[in-house]
Amino acid sequence: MRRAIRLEFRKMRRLRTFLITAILVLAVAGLSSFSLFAGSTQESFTDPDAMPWADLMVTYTLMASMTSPILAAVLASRQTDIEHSGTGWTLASTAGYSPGVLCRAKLVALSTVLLPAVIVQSLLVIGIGLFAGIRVPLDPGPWVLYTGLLFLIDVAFLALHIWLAAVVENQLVSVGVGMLGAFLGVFTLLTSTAVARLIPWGYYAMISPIGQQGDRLVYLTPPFGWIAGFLILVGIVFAVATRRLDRIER
Amino acid sequence: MTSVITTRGLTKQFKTHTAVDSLNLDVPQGHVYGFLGPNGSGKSTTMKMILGLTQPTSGDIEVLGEPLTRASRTKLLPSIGSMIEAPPGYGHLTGRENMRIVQDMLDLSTPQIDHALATVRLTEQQHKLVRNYSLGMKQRLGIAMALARDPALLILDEPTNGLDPAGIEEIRMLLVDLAGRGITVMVSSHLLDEIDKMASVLGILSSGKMIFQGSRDQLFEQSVPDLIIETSDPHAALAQGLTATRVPEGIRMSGIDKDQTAKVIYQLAVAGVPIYEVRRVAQSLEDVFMDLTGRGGLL
Repeated sequence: MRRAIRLEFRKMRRLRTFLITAILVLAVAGLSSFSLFAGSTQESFTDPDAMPWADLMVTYTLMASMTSPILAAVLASRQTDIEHSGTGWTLASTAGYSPGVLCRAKLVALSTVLLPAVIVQSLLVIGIGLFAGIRVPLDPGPWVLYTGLLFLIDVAFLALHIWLAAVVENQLVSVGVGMLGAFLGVFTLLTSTAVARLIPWGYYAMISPIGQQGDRLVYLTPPFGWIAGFLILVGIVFAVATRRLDRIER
Repeated sequence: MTSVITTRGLTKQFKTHTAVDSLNLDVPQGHVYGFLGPNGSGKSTTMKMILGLTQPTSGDIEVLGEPLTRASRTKLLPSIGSMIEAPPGYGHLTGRENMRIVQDMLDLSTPQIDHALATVRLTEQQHKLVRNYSLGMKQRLGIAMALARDPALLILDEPTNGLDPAGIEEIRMLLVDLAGRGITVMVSSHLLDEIDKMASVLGILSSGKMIFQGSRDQLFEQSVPDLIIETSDPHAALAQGLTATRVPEGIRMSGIDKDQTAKVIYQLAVAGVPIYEVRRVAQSLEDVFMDLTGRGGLL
């Protein structure tokens, strides 16, 4: 498996995986902190009751919900499509690497790229907040928690899109599902938790540690049970689905 | 002759369609085995089953003296180079980078990669992106990927597909050279001409069934060429009740062997029909092939 993962990094060359990831990270960080430079917002930067960091996190959650499904779809699709166009499935099979092994290696390799990207993304949002002049002390807990959960949900959607891109040769389908996911990700931020937990992309909303109580923002504990259940379910489905891929006769 | 590949009763059924039907294949060691058949006759499916990429519905496969099973496949794969359907190669990588992937996959040494590239004469072009390769170069890269592991057996599915005559000749010379070095080569094609000049043993498949397996000479023996009887009076000859067609030089008869020929000549001579010459039609390998496959779409 370690060798298969190393092969995936070799294949990443010239796929612009790092560039695409960097562009989306910068875009999310930029769009999340855009409102910080409005004059009316800056007035709240020194007022702890105005919760400027929580405000920033709400925008960050919105932008991440909108872009993460697309990033997962694009990365997975690019990394998997090369196997269709380069007859890579057959080449790998004749060397003893089944399609299932390739898909699992792709997931690990892309997750390795995504982990620092998500961390940098959160750090950039915080950095821009400090640069814009937020002087209220930062409570790192919710930010660390959100960053960690965002990464895990991204990995779950990478798995979904790798499988989809492997099964459906037309990559418009995988990227199209990602676009739909982006819409649903934002939509579920505006719906109740009961609805969000039934929609896979709703978990981008479920992991948010910020909620509204009356007209005030409050820090919440995300529903860990549901999130863990979703991640375990995706893990099982991915394991079974990639094993089934080995039985597809191409 | 030791067989490198043996199949017995090999069958592959897809729902209602039987792609390969009770195939008994024997690929002798150190030969170029030409696997011929019209498009859709089951050549690729057979090769995929030999490589363990497709599970047979029934039948047995033995490769390099071992029955092909899930467990033995892993052990056998490093000894089998293959190129099935399209030549492999990641277009966004250079030829060299593609070879590095194969090197990592199979734990090969750098000299093995260099040698494989040199064998297919791609050393000069190894740093070009594969997407910019011509079809011939892609085919050669595919063969280099198959060769890099120093295989005992090479299985190539239509390696000359889409190549110009010079490219076909180049691949042909390469495969003959490889067989000369002791590598058994199984190569498929739907083009008889290509195979005829490189294969020492032929297997002909039609609608999933093996209709011939043997040498070129044995193939000729399978088909009886038409008989031409040259006469100035074809009317009189046909009036003897013979199943024949009229041709400018006399009559032409199909499917009659030596004994039947003697009887026909005797009958015509007794009837007083003037006979100037009796000869067999010169037959090309293609005619024999067409005859065997029932003109099933071969070129």
